[in-house]
Amino acid sequence: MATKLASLVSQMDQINEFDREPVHASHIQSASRFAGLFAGEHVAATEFVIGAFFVLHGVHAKDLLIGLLIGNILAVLSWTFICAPIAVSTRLTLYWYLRRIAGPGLTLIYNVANALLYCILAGAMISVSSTAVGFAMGIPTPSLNDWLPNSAAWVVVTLLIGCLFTLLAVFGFAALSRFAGVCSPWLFLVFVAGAIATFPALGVHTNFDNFWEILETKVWNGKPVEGQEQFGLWQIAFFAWFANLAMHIGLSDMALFRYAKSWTYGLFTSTGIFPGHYLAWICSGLMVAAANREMDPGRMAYGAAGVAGVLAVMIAGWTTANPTIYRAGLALQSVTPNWPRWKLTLYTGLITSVLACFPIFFVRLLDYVAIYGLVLMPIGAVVLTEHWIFPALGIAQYEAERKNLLFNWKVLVVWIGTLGVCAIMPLHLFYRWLPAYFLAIILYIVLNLGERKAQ
Amino acid sequence: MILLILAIASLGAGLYSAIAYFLGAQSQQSYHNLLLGATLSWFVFATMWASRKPKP
Repeated sequence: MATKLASLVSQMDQINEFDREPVHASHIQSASRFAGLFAGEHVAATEFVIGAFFVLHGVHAKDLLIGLLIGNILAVLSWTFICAPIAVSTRLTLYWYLRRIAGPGLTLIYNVANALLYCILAGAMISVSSTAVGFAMGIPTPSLNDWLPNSAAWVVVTLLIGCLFTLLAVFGFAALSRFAGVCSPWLFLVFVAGAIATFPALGVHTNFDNFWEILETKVWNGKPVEGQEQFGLWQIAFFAWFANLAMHIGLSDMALFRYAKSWTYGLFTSTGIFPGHYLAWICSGLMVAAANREMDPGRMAYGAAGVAGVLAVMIAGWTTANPTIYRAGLALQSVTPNWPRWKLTLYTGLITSVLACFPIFFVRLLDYVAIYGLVLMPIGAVVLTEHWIFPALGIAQYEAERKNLLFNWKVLVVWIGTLGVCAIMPLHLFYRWLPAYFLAIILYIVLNLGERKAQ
Repeated sequence: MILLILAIASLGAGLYSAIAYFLGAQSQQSYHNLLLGATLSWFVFATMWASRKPKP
């Protein structure tokens, strides 16, 4: 067993070999490159769903605008003050840094967990695209209470779309990545144009004298639809904050920021966050309000932007599921001996396509996004503690590396223990990660007090 | 450069069509058609711009 694990670890290292060394000074990227990189990052298929869900959850207009502002500012600050400084200081990916802290065996488990979470996320994106095709073919979209497929036709369409996306990812990942870059500005146009085009249906006057009144009474009117709990300002703020928790607090974006000249480049995430997680969410809220508050992205986009809207839902799902399937395949490559990349992407895509048939991931997307961040958050807490707090407390760093450990059991205890506490914490799901984050930091320090260096 | 200008103009036309529909200057069908046309135009010019070869 130990030999097999060591072999898997060796393969995982080979996959990540390219990133093993810290980024050289000659490869540091400019500020404008970072601003451009993030600008198109956060306009995805899920934006059609998330913004619409806020309406269905009966948010008040003022709570939405202020909550999103607070949450998005906190997200940008998390990138700037937590993720970017560690990345700039180490110039390493999370993978290689975590390996020194947690040991290669635990890093492998982290990779697999990450891959499974990616698969589910990509599945949700395929489901969103299926609503667009389903709309064109007259296939009913699953309702908010459907956890299982609602018809054989839905399954067939979703599987076909999933297989199509998978094949495209297999044959043309690089080309499709470039295509995704071309799509971003257009997707943003469809969001904005679609929102403006809902104004007549919502009754907005052309001089905007009743604009705020319409927003408060017909869009974010504080009345949740049946079966949905009501969200307030802090739920919105926390959602916006943790929507990319795995990337900032969870430190996945060390992969990007290791190329940054300064940790202040974290502020450039605002070029993507505010258009995507502020304006696009507001736009999709307006669209669903004009579509009788029914969660059907395909129909909603058609009503707001015609055929271009349906294309946008379809293409947004495609371009965002593509790198997600690819990343999941990459993460799983460590546990699939000698499989070529295409084969892995193919199998990952097929698993994702099957998951996409289950509407639970799409109709409970907000909860899933919360759980996704929550699962990976303790690892971010461990790395932060190891990097900044251990030197300050005189605790020796990188125990796994020093002692040549395959598993650092202390990291495993913190990871599982924190998630266990999260599971029983008497707080709303959206709020649990924050106290759990501090708990993980404290627990990891306590477990390592025995490693304090003699002064 | 001309390709980039044409691509951006396509986005501008799409946005204009939505505003014109809101102001009652055109029908919903015309807005949908214009937005679809702007979409096609964007993809043609933006893709050409993105795939151009850098000058030696």
